[in-house]
Amino acid sequence: MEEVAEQSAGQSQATEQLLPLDLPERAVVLGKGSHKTTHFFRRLKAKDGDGFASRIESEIEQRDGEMIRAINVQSACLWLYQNAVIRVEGYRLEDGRPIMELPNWKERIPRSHAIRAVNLLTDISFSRPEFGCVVPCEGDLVFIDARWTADESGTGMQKYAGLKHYFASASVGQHDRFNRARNKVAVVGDRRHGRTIFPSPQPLFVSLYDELIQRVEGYSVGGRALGGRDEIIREMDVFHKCEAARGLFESDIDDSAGAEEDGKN
Amino acid sequence: MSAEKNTRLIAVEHDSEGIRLAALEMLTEFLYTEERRRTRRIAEQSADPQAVLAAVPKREFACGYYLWVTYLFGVEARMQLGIHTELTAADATGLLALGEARREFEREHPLCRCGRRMKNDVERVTGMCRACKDARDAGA
Repeated sequence: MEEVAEQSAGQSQATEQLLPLDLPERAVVLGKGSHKTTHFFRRLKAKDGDGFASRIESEIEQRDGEMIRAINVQSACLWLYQNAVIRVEGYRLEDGRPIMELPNWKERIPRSHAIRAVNLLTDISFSRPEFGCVVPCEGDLVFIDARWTADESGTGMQKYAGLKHYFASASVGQHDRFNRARNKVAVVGDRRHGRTIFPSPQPLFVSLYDELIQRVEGYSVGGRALGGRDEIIREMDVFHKCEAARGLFESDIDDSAGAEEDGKN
Repeated sequence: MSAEKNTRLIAVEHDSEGIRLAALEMLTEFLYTEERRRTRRIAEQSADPQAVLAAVPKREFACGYYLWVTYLFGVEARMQLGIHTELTAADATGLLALGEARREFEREHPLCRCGRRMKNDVERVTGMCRACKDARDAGA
């Protein structure tokens, strides 16, 4: 696996390391120097992913003939923070006591910090390999880049790049389910003036991931490389599942943009 | 009352009447594709493109209806090509509404003898599209 490190903003170097899925807690570092704070999260579960996704508000509204698309992830971030953070370091009260002495310490963390911390915790993106004219013998491959946890020095969060997810080829029926889910919307208000709400595709993505995943590279559980479909389905982070499945299905749509160049010299 | 109205949640795939109306609107839009293209070209060269584009009829429904109808057009096309498609109850409901919209569209816009669809009442009354009428008048 290719490991890439970001040196900027306190990112630390990761070299030939597997991403440890079973860490009991993950640390997210915000700020630096005297403004540095560290937020520790428990291991995220499937229901955290579901709860997060169900709170993302994605909608389109028509105003004066204009389509306005709005996506609000703040509520989802704050919900995940409240549910998954287990402790913080670096905050203190005006009287000098650590913030965690307060029974409601989670609520006292500035909202903007909570949102930034969750954004880093769930900072995952997919890419597809450029095969050109050479294609894999079977199945599909999706690369995932993700931050996972701050290293022991606490200087920043390392980025794991090129985490590999190998999928079986999706059937026509699975593509149909994806297409149906992408277009299945609700309207709030009335038919003519309502806002169009897009339900989260995350449950579908997780289900498609579990059906299609064959093997992964770059992840570990219990100090050894993650292997075997059952183990992958059981241990893989829900956000990684979702992003990899999104990469598998949505990149086919993005590729169609290149069709404009087809036939040109 | 308005607050109650504004929070009503409509699952588009179950609203067959809304699907029928949005599909009918989209089918009619296809009929005027060339006119819309021409208007866009004029707008691009206009000093006030917004004013030109304001003349283009706006869609009547929330955009979710058009998304679902577009999906149904895709399902319908695949079925017509003989591609096996597993339908859900919502797909079936939508395809029935689409079929109804198409029949209504074909009644409102019958085919001219040249194969074009008639666009308005005048063409329907004369029994031919404008292009055919112009050709006939020029011949006479």
